[in-house]
Amino acid sequence: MVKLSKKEKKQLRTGLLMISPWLVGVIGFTLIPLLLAFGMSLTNYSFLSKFKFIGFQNYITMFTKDPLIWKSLGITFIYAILAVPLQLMFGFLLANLLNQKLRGIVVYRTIFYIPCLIVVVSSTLLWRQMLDTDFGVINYLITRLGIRKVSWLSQTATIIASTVLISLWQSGKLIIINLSGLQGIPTSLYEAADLDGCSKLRQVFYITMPLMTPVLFMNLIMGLIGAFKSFTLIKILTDGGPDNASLVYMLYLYKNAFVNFKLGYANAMSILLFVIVGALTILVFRSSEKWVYYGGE
Amino acid sequence: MKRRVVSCYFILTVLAVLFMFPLYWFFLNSLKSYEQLFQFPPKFWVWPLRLKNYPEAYHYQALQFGRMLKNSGIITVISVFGTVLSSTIVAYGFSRLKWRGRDQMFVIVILTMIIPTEVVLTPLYFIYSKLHLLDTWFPIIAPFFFAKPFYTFIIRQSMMGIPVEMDESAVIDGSNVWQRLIYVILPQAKPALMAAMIMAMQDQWNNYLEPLIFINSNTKQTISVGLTFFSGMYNIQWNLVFSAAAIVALPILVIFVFFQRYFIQGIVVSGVKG
Repeated sequence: MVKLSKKEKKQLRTGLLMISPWLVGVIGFTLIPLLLAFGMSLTNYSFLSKFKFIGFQNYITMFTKDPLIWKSLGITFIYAILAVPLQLMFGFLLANLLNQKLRGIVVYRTIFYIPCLIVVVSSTLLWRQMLDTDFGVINYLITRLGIRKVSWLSQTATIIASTVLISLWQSGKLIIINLSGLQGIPTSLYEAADLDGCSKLRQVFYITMPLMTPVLFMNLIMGLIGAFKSFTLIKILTDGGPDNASLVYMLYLYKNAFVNFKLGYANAMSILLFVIVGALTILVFRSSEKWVYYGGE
Repeated sequence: MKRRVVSCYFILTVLAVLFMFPLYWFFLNSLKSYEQLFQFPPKFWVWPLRLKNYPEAYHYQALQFGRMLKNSGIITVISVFGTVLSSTIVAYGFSRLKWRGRDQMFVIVILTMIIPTEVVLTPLYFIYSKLHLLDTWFPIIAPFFFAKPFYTFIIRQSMMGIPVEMDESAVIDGSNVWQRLIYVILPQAKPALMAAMIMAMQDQWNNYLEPLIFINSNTKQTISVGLTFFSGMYNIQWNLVFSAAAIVALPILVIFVFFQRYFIQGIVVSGVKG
């Protein structure tokens, strides 16, 4: 134990006092609930029954007797695998376009940002109507192109496609993050490359991409976490239906907890979600040593 | 060179039209009559616009729209206040004060940012049920008074950038920690503070999952959840649903017009963390 001088002690006290709201919050709203979730996941608690310790039974049920867990995990994984890379690419490419020195570019930047300002519930209700099989404007437009009507919200594949589309439409924040990253790249690098006769395309690969990897890295982590906890969009768009075709993990968790009141089981699902998100984050962090460039050396 | 500019404009314009079209459709829907809304092929323009939809949606009998709108407003304002109060103080403690273990502790703040709130909703529900806090606004508002990591991070980053000399001269003038925060640091950190306020406002106004879980009474419900009740009603006037949805979307759009640069600033700072 290091001996603190009187002054250091006073500093420590003041510092801890200042950060105490966060400390209390993180203990009360994250740490205790997390421990409680684990504790409750070992019981068969519901609002109707008393606590009964059942060991790892919930986890065993989850992995062996509940096909909906696998189904919801599968849907969520597929959504993440499609949505996240598309969001990253789209954000990166569009930001490159929006970084050009063109007259009126600010207007374009605003246009691409506005959709993510629309309250999620409102925009989802809009998309639900636009995607309607019989009256929807999207089906009208594609029939004009000579394609048959698609019942967008009737099966897993088209529902995932729709949600990916909506998420791209609302990716304004991602575009801005990419744009600010691009603007942080010193123009002198491009000028030097021009002098060396390096083509614009090669500049993208050898200057822009490496210098943007820290931004892409953050977006990847945030995107993955976002995909795994996605709830509101699907809840309002299809409520998991028809016949669980779009039952994402978080929605299944919600239904177990607050519709079926299987709280013990729902807590086991929470813990699994925590483990998945944690594992993915660690995985991405580990891999980052290989592909993220932090300048300097 | 010329060709590159033209193709840039071309791609951007095509994409911009695709991006704007749903927005146009949104507001057009909110101004159509019920019959027009269900016409096929759909009408891309209607005249006269049915402006009456807006007051009709607001006063719709079966839904306490005004009440829920007010609830959301109050909840959002209190949450923004809580953010300013708690996140500022905590960010100050993590940036301008020197104490042993500060930076190690801040790593924990960043780590907790990664844990999704969704993971702890079920245990929190249990805790609140035991504390008899279900069906109150407490579960929705309280976290904002305990320095949510994200907003704290934004403010802390900006406080780190303020020159140390400013504190030092204030110390020589004999001011204490609190005076330094209020008179020296806060004015400098104002842009970040505004950005955090705007993000907190957006988050809370958008909040759907928590009110859905923690609030039962219609009289206490927020407008996000209320809107989905509205759309789920039997025999609903769908055009009114869209007017209601537009009313809910409007406040953020209006605030964006006035405080654009703070919106952008918050996002930019949040993108460069780590």
